[in-house]
Amino acid sequence: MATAQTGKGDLHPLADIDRVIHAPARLMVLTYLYVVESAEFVFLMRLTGLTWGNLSSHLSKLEEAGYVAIEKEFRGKKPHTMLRLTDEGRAAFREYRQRLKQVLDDLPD
Amino acid sequence: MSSILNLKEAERKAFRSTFQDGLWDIYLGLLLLNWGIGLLLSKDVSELWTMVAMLALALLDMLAFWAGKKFITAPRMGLVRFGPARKAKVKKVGVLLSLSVLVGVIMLVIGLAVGRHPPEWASYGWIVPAGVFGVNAIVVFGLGAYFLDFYRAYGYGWLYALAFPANIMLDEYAGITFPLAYFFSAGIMVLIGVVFFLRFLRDYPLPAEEA
Repeated sequence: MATAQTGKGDLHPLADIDRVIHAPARLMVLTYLYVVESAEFVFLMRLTGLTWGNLSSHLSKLEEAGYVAIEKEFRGKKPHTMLRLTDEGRAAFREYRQRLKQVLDDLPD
Repeated sequence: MSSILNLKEAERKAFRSTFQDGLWDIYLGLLLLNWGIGLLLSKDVSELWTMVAMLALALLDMLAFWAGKKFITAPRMGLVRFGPARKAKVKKVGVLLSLSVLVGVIMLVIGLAVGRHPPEWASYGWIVPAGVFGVNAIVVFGLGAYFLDFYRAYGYGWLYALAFPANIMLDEYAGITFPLAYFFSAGIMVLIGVVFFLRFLRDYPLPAEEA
């Protein structure tokens, strides 16, 4: 990010990339939440392979950024922590994907 | 990074994870096993009671499947709600399975009638219901496997399809009246399911903490 180039292979858009999303673990979480309506904490933990504490801390960051909504649901007497992408999170993920794709597509072979 | 941004694959992976507990394999195997049990029963009891017993067994299978998903899988794997596209696919499979069950029941009734009161064409007559049953099983399981990304179901379609004619041939040409083919096909499916189930229990213990 220190030296930006111009023209074909311009890496400038990388500097503007959303760093909240760019961390691999958070990118994984957002990708899975993007393709489902909502998922329980445990489900995401299983799918991403993250530990409980790790996933918790990444989710806190995503919630702070307004990208993920965390809701407690009760099924019978059991609480379930359900997670879903907010509209803002969905738009941010779409933009991130677009931007990254553009940068990677523009790179010379 | 490109693979994680392949959204279709990510969605597929999320959905396929719902099949890794092996419960669908066991359930489908038990349903086929019911046919074998039904044939055994039909030798001693009336068609009506055979049908009642098979229905009761099917309900028991369903109950066991539901309980397994609710009390074993869900606490270990967590819940997920899929998007509208996936829900539409699941709905399509539901309709197909209902039609398939209807065809299956008709074939069973014909099979029982032929077995008890063999008409003149009985020696070759079984080819028609067996053919319809087989094609029905291959098509429905194939479409189910395709729409649900549940690839083992392609093989299960063939196990269902072959059980019916194999059983009749064993009876006609080898004199084996025990519904061996049903038990064999169902046994393979249940065994695969049990292996997946044990692996699931090993890989996904109950989570220790609450979020």
